[in-house]
Amino acid sequence: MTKSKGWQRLDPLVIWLDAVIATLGFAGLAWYFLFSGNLRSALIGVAIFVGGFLFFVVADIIRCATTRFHISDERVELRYGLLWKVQRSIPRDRIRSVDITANPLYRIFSLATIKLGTGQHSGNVEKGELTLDALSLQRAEELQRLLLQRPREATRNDQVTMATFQFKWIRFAILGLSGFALIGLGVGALGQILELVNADFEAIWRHAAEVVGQYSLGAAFVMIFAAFVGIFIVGIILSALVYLENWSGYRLSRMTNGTLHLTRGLLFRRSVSIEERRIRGVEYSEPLQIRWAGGALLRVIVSGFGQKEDDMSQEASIIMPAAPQAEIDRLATDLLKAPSIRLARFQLRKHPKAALYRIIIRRVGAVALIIGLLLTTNVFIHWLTWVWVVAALICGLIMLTSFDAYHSLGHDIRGDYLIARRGSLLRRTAVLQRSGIIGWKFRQSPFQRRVDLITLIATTAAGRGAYKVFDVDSGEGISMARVAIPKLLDAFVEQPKDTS
Amino acid sequence: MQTNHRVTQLRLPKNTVDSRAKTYWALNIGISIALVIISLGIMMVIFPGLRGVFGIVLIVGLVLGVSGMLFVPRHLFHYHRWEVTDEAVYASSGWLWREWRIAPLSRIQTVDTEHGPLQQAFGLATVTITTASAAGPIKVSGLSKKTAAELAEKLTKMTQVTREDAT
Repeated sequence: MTKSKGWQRLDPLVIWLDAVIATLGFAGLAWYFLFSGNLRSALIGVAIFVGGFLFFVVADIIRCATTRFHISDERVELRYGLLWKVQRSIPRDRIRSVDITANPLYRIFSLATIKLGTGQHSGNVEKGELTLDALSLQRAEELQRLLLQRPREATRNDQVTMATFQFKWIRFAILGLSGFALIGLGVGALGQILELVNADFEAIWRHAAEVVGQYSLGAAFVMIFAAFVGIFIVGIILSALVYLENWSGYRLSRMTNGTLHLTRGLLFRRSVSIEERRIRGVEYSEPLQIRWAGGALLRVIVSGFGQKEDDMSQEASIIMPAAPQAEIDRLATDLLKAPSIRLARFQLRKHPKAALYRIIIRRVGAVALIIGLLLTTNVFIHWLTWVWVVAALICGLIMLTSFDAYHSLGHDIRGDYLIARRGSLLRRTAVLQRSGIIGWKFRQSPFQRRVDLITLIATTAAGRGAYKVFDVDSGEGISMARVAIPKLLDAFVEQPKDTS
Repeated sequence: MQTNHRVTQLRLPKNTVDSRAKTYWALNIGISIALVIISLGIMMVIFPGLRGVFGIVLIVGLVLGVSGMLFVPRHLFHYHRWEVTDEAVYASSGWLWREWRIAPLSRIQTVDTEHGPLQQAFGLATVTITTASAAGPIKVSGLSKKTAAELAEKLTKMTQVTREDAT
């Protein structure tokens, strides 16, 4: 373990790699101008290319040459900048995550970006993070080990593998449907490119229509159908590829120094370390189609890690990708050291029937409002009969999903954990450590008051920051809070009058 | 889990806020009504054809708003309360949509007092108590400046005693 006192620098190789990336990027831009037809814009293209390239490379050289970092026993310090000098320093005991990422180019040359997170989100994001881009992979891994090590602990770093990637999980990836979003993006990008080269869209459509028009109606129908099937197949293949890129090579291991280590990714290699003592619970995430296929995803609720609603931290908190429920349960119980969690998930306490009526009323109400608005605008007046048919269909569907949503509602306290489940299209089950709860919030709307329901919200310094037990019987909600954190509420409740 | 939950309910916190808060809330509602009326007036000038519709909305808004000014602050005052014990801070707010918040003192990170210009005019202040959660701070508004300062000082003192990581 190198623990040198001096200042260290980034790996100079990164300058070359960034230059390659810049070349590719600016070459694309220059190419467009070069082939635009006249000499003047071709020259502009070359000028842009050379200028942009030089600016970028010089900036990168300055960045690398001026960046220095220093790891003392107490702090990690970072200095960079030539004219605008920046000095930053974070206390080592505040570091809660050390993430290593490497893009494909970095991977070829064994480089990696390392990001130190403190989980401080009070100010801007940058304040709580410190990024070194880039170091040699070996150096980055050394730093990761060094920074996450508690003082006076064994340097021996045995690891126990908790979970590894299994290719058969890919069936859930296909259900994840992420590939279709990619197709959408691809179509959009294609449109952009065609626009750039001044393609005549009308001509393209006319041409396509002519081609299709040559065939009989039946043949044309078959062609369109085939096109849809084709898109569907491509979508599924893309979904699988996205999943493989994200998750193949997934391995979660437990180090003897009390950290979890997660690595994943095919081309973009990602590596995340999480201190086990900061884990406050887990969250099962079950999108409807994956739930039907018997799968789920597992997120980890960690204090000072991803405590925001943005996609990046949501993605980063996934500790196991869509996998069979049994695997997810096994990992969850292993993480929380609470074997009863698995059973508890199937024996959650139900919510009062009034919660079901509220779900139905809310949804039907929303549909009624939309239909009402449609009816008041004269435009749709001749759709009148259709509106009723569609409304009836939608209401039927709503009833089905409402029952599912009601069935999903559940809560309980099992051992050290508070469990809350809700949601239909995306069902989430939060399993939150009672000692991780740092406050309560109770909410009651006039409609809830009428049927004696309440929403109990457990606030925490981890994960989403607040976990809701939605539409629970008001008395039971309060009792639950009293059981979860004993004594805290005692002074504020009216003592039960009956003594039975 | 306990089963005798049928009659368990939260009582209101002990302390009400300053009675000047009622006037402050009434004025707040008044300002909102005034803004609505002004914008409706502008709409009536811009769309002369829809004057009737806007007129009805305006009258309904005015009646609701004025009765709101008269009655809402009283109810708000009843439910808008706070309390500090040796263990926790407890605050309730809202009249129709009600909210109760409880945080153990050991989890409190910062205590701030603030007063906006309108609150200043009434000699009122808001105490904002944050924990490490992203779920938002506990706010007790409508306190007299003196009470607010005392509360903030008391909380700061008490939380220093139990200072930990608070996460």
